[in-house]
Amino acid sequence: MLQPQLTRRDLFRLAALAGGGAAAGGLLSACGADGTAPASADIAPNAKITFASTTITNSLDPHAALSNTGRSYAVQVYDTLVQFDPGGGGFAPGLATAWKRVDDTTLELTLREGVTFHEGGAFDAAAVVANIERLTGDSSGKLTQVKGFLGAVTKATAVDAKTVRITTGTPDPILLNRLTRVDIVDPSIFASSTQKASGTGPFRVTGYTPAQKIELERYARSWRSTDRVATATLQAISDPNTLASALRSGEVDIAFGLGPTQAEQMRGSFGIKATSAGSCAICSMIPAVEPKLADPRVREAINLAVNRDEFVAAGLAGYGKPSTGQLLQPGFQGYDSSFGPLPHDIAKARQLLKDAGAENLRLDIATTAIFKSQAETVAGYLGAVGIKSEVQLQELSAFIGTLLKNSTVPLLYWQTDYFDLRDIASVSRFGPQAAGVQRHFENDEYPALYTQANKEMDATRREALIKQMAKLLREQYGVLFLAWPDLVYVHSKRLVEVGLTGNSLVRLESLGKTA
Amino acid sequence: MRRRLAGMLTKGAGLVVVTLGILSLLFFIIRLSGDPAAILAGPGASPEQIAETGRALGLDRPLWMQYREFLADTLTLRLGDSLLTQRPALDMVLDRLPATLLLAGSTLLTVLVVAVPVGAFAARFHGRLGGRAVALLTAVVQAVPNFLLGIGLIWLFSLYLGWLPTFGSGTAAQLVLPTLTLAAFTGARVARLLRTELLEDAGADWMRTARAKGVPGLRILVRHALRHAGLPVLALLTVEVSYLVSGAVVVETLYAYGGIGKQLVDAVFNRDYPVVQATVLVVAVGVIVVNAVGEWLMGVLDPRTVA
Repeated sequence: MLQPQLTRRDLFRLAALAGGGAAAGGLLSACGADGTAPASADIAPNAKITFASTTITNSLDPHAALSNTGRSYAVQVYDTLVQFDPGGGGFAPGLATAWKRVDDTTLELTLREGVTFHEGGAFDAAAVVANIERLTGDSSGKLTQVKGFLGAVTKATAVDAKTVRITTGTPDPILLNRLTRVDIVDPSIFASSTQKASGTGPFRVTGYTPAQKIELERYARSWRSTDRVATATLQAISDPNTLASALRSGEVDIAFGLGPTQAEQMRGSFGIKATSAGSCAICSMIPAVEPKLADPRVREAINLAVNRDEFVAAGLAGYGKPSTGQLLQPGFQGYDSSFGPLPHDIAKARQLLKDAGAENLRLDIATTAIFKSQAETVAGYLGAVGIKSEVQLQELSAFIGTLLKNSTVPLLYWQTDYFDLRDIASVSRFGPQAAGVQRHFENDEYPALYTQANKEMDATRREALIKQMAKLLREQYGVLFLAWPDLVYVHSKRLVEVGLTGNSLVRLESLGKTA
Repeated sequence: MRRRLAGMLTKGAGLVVVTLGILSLLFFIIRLSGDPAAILAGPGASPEQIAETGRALGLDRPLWMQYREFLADTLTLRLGDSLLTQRPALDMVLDRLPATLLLAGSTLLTVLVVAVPVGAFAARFHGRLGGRAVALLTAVVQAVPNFLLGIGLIWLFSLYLGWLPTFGSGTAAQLVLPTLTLAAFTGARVARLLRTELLEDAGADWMRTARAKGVPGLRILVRHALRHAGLPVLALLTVEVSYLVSGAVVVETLYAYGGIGKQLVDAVFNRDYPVVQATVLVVAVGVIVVNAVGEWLMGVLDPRTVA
């Protein structure tokens, strides 16, 4: 995540459950101050909730939304065909109640019956086809992000009113993952989707002030609807200090986007909901900028320089876990539980640098403002083994270019988000690169494995390929592994139940607020 | 009359050229310092996706070609749609303009209502405890950065006293803290300037004459001294209005206040060219209008200032 949603975009944003079980199955946590959850009987119906974050969606149209900031809104107003199961690594029904592979390139989905859009139209296979065609046929550049998530999808076909087939140009092992990113928008509002919203979710939009707030009210006909929350406001408060003050004053019930240190300071007076972010904090090491980084001994030395437990405690205020030398964390396909902790050994690091003739190395770190303190922590560790390092802050738009194309700085601090598709496919930076684009890991085997894994339809074989990729990256110290950061929500203690989606977004309809 | 009209037209043409110059500069700076296609395509995008987005938005064309179009569009006020929201950029700015104008208006009013009496008080009690205290206070207020003062005000009025909301716009209560934050610096500056002017005037011949004639002190202050000292204050306020825009950027961000300042910051960070350009155009026109009004008022108060 480049921004804690985005963060500040992207800053980090980020339960409904199977078969319409509204909140119950998805309540991942929710404890009172003493650690005990009050009985549901204490939860008052028809609550009014204010959910604030540093940014909100840039558009009412979820297909045009950027980053997870948009997802925090979309998940309240729209449904997807399938969704990640918050209780585990699998999938849960959404607007599709069942699905099956017809062949390697075709997926057939059975749609939920009796669902209507907020504007009154019926949800059916034609609506799904219209949504897929809208995205695959877009040439305006305005739906790029969501279109990108569709990958190899070429078309959707209505078999009958409640059955739809989705076809890909090539076999796509993560097609279901991709469908979790496609909100189904009422086709009747395609032409006015930036002005109005119509989905099938448990809330309808009643007011929208661009970039400031979205007013929602319960849509009782939604299959996810509960009587817990009657109205809600999604509010943007970009200054974290003001965001914290708004929580303290009681104007906001739940907040996202506070820095880990700030969140930790509020512990005790407020509830904290920390959950996996589906992301790994790393530093890319770019040999094209500093040739010494092509030497595995130098890369190992850099990895040995960092005390990851300390990094999590100091850089992330405890909200995260030390990476064990792999990008994926537990719960993701291809996570390798056999990897032990990475050692912290300054003496060995110094020796390796000496052996490699890389003493007095200078390795500056480029990153964005939101990762400044973490990058400075890394610079401190490098200093301890004799590597001079300073942090260079770049604006997000400039940093994305640096990250995805070419850098003039040898180290890049970033987070390899894979929460969106919950799959290693999201981390494409170490996969095959276009001509002229810098490689962050100069190894030919890894991109080949990446390509192979993204075509492999057999789950067992695919998992083995991903593990092979992880092993290669760790053995070669392809990146500086740091930690798996958490997403942190801070909420009023009156919120005694906070349900999340499978990719850690708040489900407003699940919130339990005491009177 | 004809000469005056010609002068006004020359001045107007000059302002148009200046505005176009500012927008042109902005055009190149913002385009050369970041890529909106990267933002739109997202951090997880491949270079090919970013390139495709850039092509769809016309950003792959040569810069001079984009600039030529930009100039033609600007001159006809076709400022385009926001790259992020797909709404007309000028509409977005005009939607938020009233909130910023309200904030600027309430700030100016607060400055006048508070700073003028404070400045007069400091001059009247110059050298005494009250005067020294006010001089110190205004110096401190002027030295405190906007955002720090804002955080302090939030703590006092929202958290400790619970009187005012911490964020938002649209209600009178939500206007108070942003206004106080924005007015503090300008108010302190005006109070100090007024104090200095009044102290200088205190020894002037016309003041001695008025006192010798037995004119009451309050009347001397209001009818003569303030009127005389008001000219530099008015000149300062005219300049300060331009600075209010930059102050509004900080204050609107801090209080999540829905004005054009916050929108401008977001647009710059997102490289949302049309919104940045529309905002700068509107602000430039606003500053030009304020300067013209300021000049006119100066002329009314002191006809000698009219060339």
